[in-house]
Order: sequence, then structure tokens, then C-alpha cells
Amino acid sequence: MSSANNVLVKIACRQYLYKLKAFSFLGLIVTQVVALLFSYGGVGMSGMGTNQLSLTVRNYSSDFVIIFTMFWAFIMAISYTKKHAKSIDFTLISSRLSSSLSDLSVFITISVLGALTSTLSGMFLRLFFYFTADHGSIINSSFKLPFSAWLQSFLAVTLYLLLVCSAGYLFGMLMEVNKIFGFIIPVLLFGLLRAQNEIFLNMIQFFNESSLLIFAGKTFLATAVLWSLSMLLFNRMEVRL
Amino acid sequence: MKSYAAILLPLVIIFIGVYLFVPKAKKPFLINLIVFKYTFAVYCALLFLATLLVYALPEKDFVQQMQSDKTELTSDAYYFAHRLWDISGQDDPDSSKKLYQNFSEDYTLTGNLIKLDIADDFNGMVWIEQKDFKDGILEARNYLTPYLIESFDFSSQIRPPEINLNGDILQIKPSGRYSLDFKVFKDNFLTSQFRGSSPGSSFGSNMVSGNEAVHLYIPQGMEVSTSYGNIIYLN
Repeated sequence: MSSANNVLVKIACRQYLYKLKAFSFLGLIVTQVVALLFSYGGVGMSGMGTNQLSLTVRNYSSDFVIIFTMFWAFIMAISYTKKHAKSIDFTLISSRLSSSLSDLSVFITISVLGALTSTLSGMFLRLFFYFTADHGSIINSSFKLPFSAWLQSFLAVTLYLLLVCSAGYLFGMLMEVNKIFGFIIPVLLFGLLRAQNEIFLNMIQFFNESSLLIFAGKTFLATAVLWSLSMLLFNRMEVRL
Repeated sequence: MKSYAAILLPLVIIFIGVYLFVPKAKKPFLINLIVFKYTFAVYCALLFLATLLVYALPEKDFVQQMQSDKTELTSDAYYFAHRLWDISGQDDPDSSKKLYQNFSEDYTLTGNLIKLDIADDFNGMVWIEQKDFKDGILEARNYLTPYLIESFDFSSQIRPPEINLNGDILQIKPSGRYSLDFKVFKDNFLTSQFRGSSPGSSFGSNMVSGNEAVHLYIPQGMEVSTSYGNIIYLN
């Protein structure tokens, strides 16, 4: 590694630590607590019955918490492209590349912590129902998640959050270039989804991978592409005077 | 519990609204950040603690999945439910592994006649067996064949019929429609992509509803008067 690269990494690290110190996780906590409240009613229900018997099965999971966390991560990623967030970079010696690298590092941290808390919130939900509901109504098979399953869940959520952050960062950058993108992109995505556009569906299908390893590869590839585009846009932006 | 959620949800929404929209007093910025960091640490610690507690909970507290083959269990339960009268021929229904006993009560009789008043909506069988002696005691038991959902046996949660003796009238009526509410914890929607359907996710799709029988063990010489059709006299 050349000395220039070494300096770049050092600066990016310093910026990352600085940004992380200024980062508040209160939004994440509030978001997840609200999602947990929504999860109280369950994410699905099925019922059947005979003359003598009425059976209701309620499904619980941390789906709401993960979806809410994704929204939070997306908004956080957009907020990092705003002018006031970028002005933090000027408190330290920095370059566009070091700024982007430190942003990426912050989003990796956000993804890991978001995934950790959202997957563990599922455990909190289990404990809550254990103490508030009749134990005899809880099915044992999925109550105590095996560690390997939890780990898989954690990795999957981390990768998805990283992807969401990358997409949010690019979306934010595009909005910085021109505000009209804030309208065009959601409309375009919604329209493509409504029209069942084949290319768009194939893009979604690209991530529908049953192997975690291959999925991780695809996610890193997509993140790299999204990040490169964001960098490209960032480099073309006007300098601060 | 629903009332708690109904109170908590508006409170949280109000809290968020107040936090977002009400102008806050100027406070030193760094102190706030330190408080936030501690809040997050406490939140993470709470979640870890909850996880540890979940794994420490006793396994026997939950509805247990039976170890045997699911198809075999289901077909056995279905078979027994429709051959309940066959089991009645056994010397001791208590010893039958195909039956669960969920009611047992002794009643003291005064006369030599007992009238059975069985509710129209009672669908179970009635087995009447005469003792070899006169002890003036009517022994009533209720048996049921397994109630299964998938490979989960929830027979223990089925309530017995209401059996009451008023003078020489023995009333039998169902305890109402059973209502069972189960909770299944599934993998989140992202993980199911890699792990397939989570255990217990199809819970409830395959149910075997058992049958029940009231076994009346009456003293020798006791006469039974009833218009109920689904009765088997064991001796």
C-alpha cells in the first residue's frame, strides 16, 4: 500500500469515528419500539373450526421491526447526502473519496447494529408473550431459534440493510443533483412494479437467492455499483466555497 | 392485554409527535449525544438479556411437538376417533393409550333409577357399564381420542362436558365450543429466503378433531332411562 493510500485510509478512519460519535441511535430505538407495538397483533393469522372447535393460529415474527429498520436506514442514508451532513467533512482534512469511504463505513455499522437489534427484538417479542400469554398456547418448535438460524438471519438482514443504505445514498445523491429525482424515481419504481416490467422483476429476482454466500456476493456487487454511481455524482458536485 | 396495547400505542405516537414537533429547549449538544449512546447501550443490553432469558426458559412450558412420524400419528388419531366404539369393548379404557381421560367424578345415588338428560348438541358417545355390586355410587368418566394439529397433541386442553346430578337426573351437556388460540413464532421474511419455511409455519393446516365418550359406571340393579341414541351398554 502506498503512503497516499495509507493516508487516505487514516483520514477515512478518523472521519468515520467522528461521524459515528455524532450519530444518534435514538431514532433506531424509537422506530423499533413502534414496530414492536405493531408486531403485538402478529404478522398473520389463520383459523379453522368445526362444530365443537375453533382454532386460531397467530404468527409472530420480527418482520415489522425489520421493515421499519429498513425505512430508518434508508432515511439515514439519504440524510448523509444532505449539505449539512457533508459539511461535517470540512471539520477534518478530507477528500471526496475519504468522505464516501467514511459514509460507507458508517452504513456498514448501521447495518450491523440495525440487524443485531432487529433480530434480537424477535427474542424480546418471544419473552414478552411468554410472560403475558398462556404458555400452553405457544408452539415450541420455533420459539427457541437455533444459533445457526439466528446467525443466518442476522447476516441476511445486515446484507439487506447495507443494500438499502446504498440505494438510499444514491437516491439522496440524485436528489442533491436535482430535486426532481425525488419525484421521478419513486414514480418510476412504482410504475415499473405496477406494469410488472420484466427487467425490473429480473432485478428483484436477482436477489432472490437461496444460498447466503451467493446472495452476499450479489449484495456486495450491487453495493459496489450503487456506491460507485454515488461517488461519481458526488465528485461532479460543486465545491464548497 | 389488548387494552394495554391500545393505551401504549397512542402514547408512543404522542411521544414521537412531541419529540419531533415541539421545539426543544437548547441543551448542550454533547450531553444529549452521551445520553443517547447510553440509551442505545441499555437497549442492546435489554435485548441481549431477553435473548438469554428465552434460551433459559423451560422447554416443557410450551406446546410440545410429538416425536413420532407425523403422518402415522395423524392417521392413528383419525382412525381412533372413528372407531371409538371399538375401544369401549376393552376391559379397562384407562389403560388404553389411545384415550385421554379428562373428567372423573363420583356421584351418590338415592334411588334405583337414573334419568339421562343429554343436551341435543352433545355429540359424544355414552358407555354404560354395570358394577357387580350395589354401592350407590355413580362413577362418571370422560374419555377422548387424540386431538392433533400437525404432530402437536392438544388433547389436554380440551374441556370435558358438564356432568351434573340433580336428584335422579344426570345432565350431560357440552362445555361450549372450544376455542384454541395458538402462537407460532416464524423466521422473518428475509431469512425464509435461505431457510425455507420455518418450523411451525404450516401449523394448523392439518387437524384431527377427536371424539369423546362419557363412561358411566353404575351400581348393580340400577335402571337407566334415556332417549339418547348414541349409547353402548358394555355389559
